[in-house]
Amino acid sequence: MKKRSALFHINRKNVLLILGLTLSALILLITIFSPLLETHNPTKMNLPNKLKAPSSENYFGTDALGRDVYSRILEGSRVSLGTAFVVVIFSAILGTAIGLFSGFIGGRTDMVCMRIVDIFLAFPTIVFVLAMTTFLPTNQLSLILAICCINWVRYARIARGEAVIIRNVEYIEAATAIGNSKTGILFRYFLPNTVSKILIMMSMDIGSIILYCASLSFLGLGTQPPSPAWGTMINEGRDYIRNAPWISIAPGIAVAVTALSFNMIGDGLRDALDPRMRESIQTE
Amino acid sequence: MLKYIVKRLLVMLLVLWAVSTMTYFMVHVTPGDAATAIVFNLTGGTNMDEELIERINKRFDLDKPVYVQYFNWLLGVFRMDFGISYRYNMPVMDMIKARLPNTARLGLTAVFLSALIGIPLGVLSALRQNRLLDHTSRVATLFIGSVPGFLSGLVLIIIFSLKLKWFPTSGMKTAGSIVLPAVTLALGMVATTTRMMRTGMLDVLRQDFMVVAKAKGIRRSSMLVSHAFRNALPSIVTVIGLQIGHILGGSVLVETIFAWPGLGSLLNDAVSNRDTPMLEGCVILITFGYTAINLLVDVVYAWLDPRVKYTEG
Repeated sequence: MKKRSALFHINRKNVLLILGLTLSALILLITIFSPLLETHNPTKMNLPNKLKAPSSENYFGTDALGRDVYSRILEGSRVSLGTAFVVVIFSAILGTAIGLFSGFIGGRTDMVCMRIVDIFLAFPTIVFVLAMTTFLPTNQLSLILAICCINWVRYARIARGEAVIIRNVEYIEAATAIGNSKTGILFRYFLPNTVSKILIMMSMDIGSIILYCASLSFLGLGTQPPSPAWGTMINEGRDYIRNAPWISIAPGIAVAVTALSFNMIGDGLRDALDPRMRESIQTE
Repeated sequence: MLKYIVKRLLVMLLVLWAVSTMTYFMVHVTPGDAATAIVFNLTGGTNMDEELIERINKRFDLDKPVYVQYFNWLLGVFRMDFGISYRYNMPVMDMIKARLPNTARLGLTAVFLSALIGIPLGVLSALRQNRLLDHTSRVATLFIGSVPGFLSGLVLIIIFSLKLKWFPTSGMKTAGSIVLPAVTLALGMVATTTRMMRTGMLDVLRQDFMVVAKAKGIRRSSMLVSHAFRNALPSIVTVIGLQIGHILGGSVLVETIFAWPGLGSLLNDAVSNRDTPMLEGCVILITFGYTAINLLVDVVYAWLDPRVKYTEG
């Protein structure tokens, strides 16, 4: 019989993980092929056709400018998911680099780095991003930059914690004794030992970053109209929730389903891989 | 213990100073002439009066060098004085003082609601680990936790204020006004509360003393009350502390949706009005509160659980 890895062996425990992976893969596919699936031009206005209820012509209805909500959600998926991935990848790289370095060097450098981390941890994420974007131009790049600027600290803490543990392991002493260079040790031993925890953290992070991005674009940051981001669409529809709730609700459901799919991966991984991680990593 | 608290307080002071300075330079230092920008923002660029710009320069000390402005401002922060709002021409602190009780009321109601649901659900989940109730509660809370606050807020508005007309859509005029925003805020926290409570309780149930208690033949109910609950207290404290932290950030969204006159909506208005002193005041106070609560949680946690060592921090 072919041996499968425990992680992908379907049992009651990781059904959540499998479901999350399937849904997320589906959402990614939809995002990649969104131009083929769009039924209308997502930015084309059609005023006579405004505020139409969902129908076979406009699956999720039309908005106040007569644009097709379904096509706009598909178009917006590229912005929303793309942003979330970029933020998670960049903050993971930055945080891991600083954390590993800090834990590897130790001493005063480590102390200074950790105090800097403390400073960033003092801010609630949304509050920090709101403050930071005031001096940046209002666009998606500013939003990405601002979230990365605060999100890296979570990775730095994990990477640093791992580095401190690894530093005291005997094989590092052995590696130094046989004449490995410091950079060599950092890349050959420290990095690979941290990667798995960082990957788990990334998978748990992506759901919450999707939610943060949507919340912040709901508050008017990031991509500006007419380009559709999910949060912006929900905000635009707020004035019409009495008569045309689909304008807000449909992109809202898109955010929720996407976040749920990625959160299921994170939650499933947390259970399947490392029960001890449950306590150490908590999102706000 | 005392040494630990003093050390943490010192670190906290340092962090708060850094936070203030960082916020100041992030928000305050804008390219170009500040007074011109204020006049432009307030009048929409229709009235670019030279004399007005000059008066604003004087009123807000904007003609002084940046470092002088910074030190004056920092001295003010020590006295809890954040200057005068550009938008409302009133002391920032007075406006914050007027709004703070509203956020506190909303937040504490939400914490209470989420604890009321999350803590018992987490405990029950742990007691019925991997049974139907456990799975259902985990999937349900994960689902609720994935719904963004603005979506649940809008859905609640549609159902309970537009359709059923039970509660007002926004503002704080009637006693029922608090219900929808508090529920929205609580929904965002229930998932974390339940999960953390479940984990905390599972850890306690796994302990040796629980096995001993069982072996001694103590009834299950009294075993849970006298042994398990006492040892799960630190988890409860952490959960509540995290929730209060969550409120300070989450209130920005919820207060904006429901036009709730609290600190969060004040902050959001300050961002859209480019009201720098107000923005700094809100960001710094929220951050102070967040940091203080985190410290308090750590101290109470250490006090409740003597095994925690005070070396880190």
